[in-house]
Amino acid sequence: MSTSDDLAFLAALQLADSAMPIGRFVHSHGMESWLADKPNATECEITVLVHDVVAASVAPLDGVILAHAHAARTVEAICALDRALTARKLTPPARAASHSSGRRLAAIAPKLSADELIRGYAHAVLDGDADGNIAVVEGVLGRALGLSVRHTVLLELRGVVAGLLSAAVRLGRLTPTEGQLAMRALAPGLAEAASRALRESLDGMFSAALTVDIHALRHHRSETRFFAT
Amino acid sequence: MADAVRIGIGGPVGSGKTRLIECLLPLMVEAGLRAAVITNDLVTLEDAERVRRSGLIDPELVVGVETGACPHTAIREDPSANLDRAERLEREHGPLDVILIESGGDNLAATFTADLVDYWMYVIDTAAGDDIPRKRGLGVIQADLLIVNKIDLAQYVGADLDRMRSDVAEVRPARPSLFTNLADGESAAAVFGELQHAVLFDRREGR
Ligand SMILES: Nc1nc2c(ncn2[C@@H]2O[C@H](COP(=O)(O)OP(=O)(O)OP(=O)(O)O)[C@@H](O)[C@H]2O)c(=O)[nH]1
Ligand SMILES: [Mg+2]
Repeated sequence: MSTSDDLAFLAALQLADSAMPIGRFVHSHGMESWLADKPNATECEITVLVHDVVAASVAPLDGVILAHAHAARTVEAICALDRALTARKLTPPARAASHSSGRRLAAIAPKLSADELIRGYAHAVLDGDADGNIAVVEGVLGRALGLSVRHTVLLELRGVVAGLLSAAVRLGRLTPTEGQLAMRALAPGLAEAASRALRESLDGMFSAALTVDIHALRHHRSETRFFAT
Repeated sequence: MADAVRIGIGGPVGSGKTRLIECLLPLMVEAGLRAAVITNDLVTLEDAERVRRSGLIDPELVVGVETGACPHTAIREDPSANLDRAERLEREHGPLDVILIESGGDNLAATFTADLVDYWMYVIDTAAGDDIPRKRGLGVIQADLLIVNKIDLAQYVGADLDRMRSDVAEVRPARPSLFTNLADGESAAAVFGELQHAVLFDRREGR
């Protein structure tokens, strides 16, 4: 392994680390409400739900945008992708989760890399001229830190899976070990979903995770909740 | 952008954090300071609602933040959610002089990060055990100001206040502490005086 591969690998680990302070842990992406509705959900059913969210929503939408953001070479092009993603996020909580974590990462990104594009785009986000969807920020930052587009997409998908599973663990519905076993079981599905996201054009993007979208909306109106979404 | 002084309030469940906010707000108004409040209730927005209804503050300046069942993380390892709300309050309702951030009640290990607050207080309850200071919790030791509250209850639960005072002096040799009864609100002036001295000194009436 060359030094630059090592640095990219370490950058990937850092971006995936829950120590990165971008507020991922306050979002359950509908998981809290889904679990409340299914008091007897098994480990297997939870794993299937997480797989469906990634395969039917995150990969074909955020994953596709991320891949294009990774390839984009102007701040204008990146901001256009950012707007396109916001427009396709169906629910207010989905937009809120994507924007709040993305903006936090945009605030840190220019301190992690001197790359001109990430600086220019982060500036636009912090000035309120761009939405700062997390997938877009990760795409631009991933390239700046030397990650391949494939690895950056995988990083994004893994982040969503980790968030959903961690919410289930914190709500006492999976043990931490079960959470890790589910993460491992989902790995081949993540790789496949990433491959599809990399093949997809912007016109072919879609998001169709109705079950969690409905639960995210229900959660949005709930009076008692641990998670922001 | 971040113009308001951000003050954290931590401490175990029921020690008097929200009560302290209720006592401080009128004193801040009187001093001509514009304050906002962020609460981190664990499940409900109970505290936020209580402060909103108090009539002490414009309800729009009180917001609740969910912490994903991790109240510690939201004030220390990853204060993103609280930072977001603080920045939004200033953007939408600024200029503000102070933002009070109440942490969700927790055990004795919680501390606030300087990424989030300029100054933080830790409130403990006399009636929950007069040995609490001696346990050297991180909050008790590291807070900018320790508030030993509910001293009016000491006599009913057999808490030894003298011992608490000497324990506090021992575990916090260089940092201030106050012993308070916030039930009648009288000791709140001392807390406010300490805040003025430590972080609010350059905030004046009529900004
Ligand atoms: N006797 C007495 N009661 C107090 C005092 N301070 C607060 N209380 C009461 O203690 C109870 C809990 O106070 P809160 O201010 O809600 O406590 P908290 O720390 O905000 O609690 P959580 O937000 O649930 O963690 C309330 O009934 C207060 O009125 C005090 O100095 N003396
Ligand atoms: Mg309270």
